[in-house]
Amino acid sequence: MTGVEAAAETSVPKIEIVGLSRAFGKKGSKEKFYAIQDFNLSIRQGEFVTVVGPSGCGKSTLLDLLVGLSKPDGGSILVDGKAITGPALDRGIVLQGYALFPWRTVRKNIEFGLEIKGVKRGERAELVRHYVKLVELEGFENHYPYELSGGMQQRVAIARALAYDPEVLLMDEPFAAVDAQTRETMQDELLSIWEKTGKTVVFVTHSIEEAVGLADRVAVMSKNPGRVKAVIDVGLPRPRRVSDVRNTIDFNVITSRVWELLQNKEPLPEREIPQTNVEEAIHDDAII
Amino acid sequence: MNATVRKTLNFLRRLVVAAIPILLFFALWEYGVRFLPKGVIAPPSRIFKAMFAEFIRTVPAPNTANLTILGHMAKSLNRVLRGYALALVCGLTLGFLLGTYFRPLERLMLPFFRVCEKLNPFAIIPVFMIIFGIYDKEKVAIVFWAAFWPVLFNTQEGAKNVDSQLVRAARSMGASKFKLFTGVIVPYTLPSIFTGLRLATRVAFFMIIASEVIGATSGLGWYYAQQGATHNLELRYGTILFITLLAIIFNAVFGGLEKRSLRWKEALLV
Ligand SMILES: Nc1ncnc2c1ncn2[C@@H]1O[C@H](COP(=O)(O)OP(=O)(O)OP(=O)(O)O)[C@@H](O)[C@H]1O
Ligand SMILES: [Mg+2]
Repeated sequence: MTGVEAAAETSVPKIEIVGLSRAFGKKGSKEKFYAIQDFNLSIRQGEFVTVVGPSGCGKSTLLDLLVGLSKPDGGSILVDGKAITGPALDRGIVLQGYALFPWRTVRKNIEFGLEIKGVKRGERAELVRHYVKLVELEGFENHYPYELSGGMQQRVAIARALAYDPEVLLMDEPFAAVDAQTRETMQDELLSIWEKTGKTVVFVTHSIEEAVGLADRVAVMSKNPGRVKAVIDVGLPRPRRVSDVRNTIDFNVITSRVWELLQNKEPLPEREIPQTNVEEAIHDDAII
Repeated sequence: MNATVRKTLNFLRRLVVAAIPILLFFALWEYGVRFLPKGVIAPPSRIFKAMFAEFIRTVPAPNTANLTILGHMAKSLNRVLRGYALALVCGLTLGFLLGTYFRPLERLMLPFFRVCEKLNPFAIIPVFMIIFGIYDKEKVAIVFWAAFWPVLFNTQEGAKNVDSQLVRAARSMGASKFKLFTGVIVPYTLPSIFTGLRLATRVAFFMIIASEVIGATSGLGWYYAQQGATHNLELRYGTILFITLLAIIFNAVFGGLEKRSLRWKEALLV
């Protein structure tokens, strides 16, 4: 553990999730279905945490709670030591699917949060210029979403969430709908944006490769009820490019650990992973 | 050649092409009338002459009984606009309420509203005449009745189906209830509102003429019925053409407005 990390550990975590649960009513019965139960996770300031887990394990539900769109049925979420009360501009989310406003141009989409924040017109234009450049969409400011490719729309959604400068960025499978090459470019772009801005990121994905490639730590979730099964320290060097680390031994060892955690009901004790397993993991990476 | 010139030329070419069948129709009409007994159909040349004379006819100011066709048009438009505006305000308000914040009321109210909508508007005219008389009030009420339902139903339907992801996106950025309404719900509903407005315009036009034909003392519908009573063939057919022309102009204005405000939907409208 480095000195910086040790210092961060002793101070208040950026996000502290304790005993969190969220229940939904079942149709036609009084019984409740717990999408998330007894969920615990602590996230440091400026940390990049990815969340993986089987479909329906409550990943989107978790982000909903974090951004404040829904209320927990138990436990608490503290941001900077204070319980959250609802959506606020200190947290931004890139929702599953792009959720761009189709009647707004790229510029106006990015401005939405700024309008709510009450930023003046001139300053808004300045910020739009900055973030459009950051996500490399110069020249498309006045295009409508339908005129953009999937990858470009995704970048608009990211720019929109970044523009009002939230300290925490929540992302729900942001790269799920783009092709493999675009995905890798965007992963690297996201990493460089994160390095430049120092935001705390919680990133949900279905791809184990993506989860390991991006993260400081990977939270592996189990289903029914949704809770943290294990948290894996990635520890690959920073600054990092996904394309650079993807073929290293360390990367493959970590990937296959996550893979095993997802396949087995119970977390395995830490052990040396045989070479054959690594091979397998490389082949059936990606989507669960 | 710059873009605007090319655009204008393009437009002119389309106009000429569109005019050909219309001109052909009038030519055939003019020629065909000679083979019919007198007093059935007037030839276009005589219609246009009579209409022109009617347009430039001057009326001593206070004499409403002797209004020109333009005077009667103004009467009708005035009634349509008042009924239409009322339908718009009520239809939009109720539509948004039932589609968003008062969703539970939808099940209670909508079946009843559907029945109201299904009532034959022609059958209603005599009832309205008993209640409101045959003057402006009745005409405004009839236009309102006809235009209200399509506005209500289309607004409600559109508002109800607002994409929940977009609402979540807006809320995640801390949007207030007001911002949510003006920034998400209204723009999302706009295409359905326009569908409603288009239907409403059509029935409003239809009903004002019909109600004026059935019972009135002024207005385009009354004027038309009057030409029948006095056997003025030229003005009678002229009025039909004039009403058609008005409908075309209204449609064009509306179409332009719709296209402007729904530019983002262009890909879906093509
Ligand atoms: N509004 C809701 N009402 C009832 N049940 C819900 C609701 N939202 C989510 N659930 C249930 O909660 C569980 C978790 O859903 P969630 O969308 O969080 O899963 P997820 O991990 O994001 O899945 P995916 O990877 O497929 O996106 C699911 O079983 C789902 O059916
Ligand atoms: Mg999800």
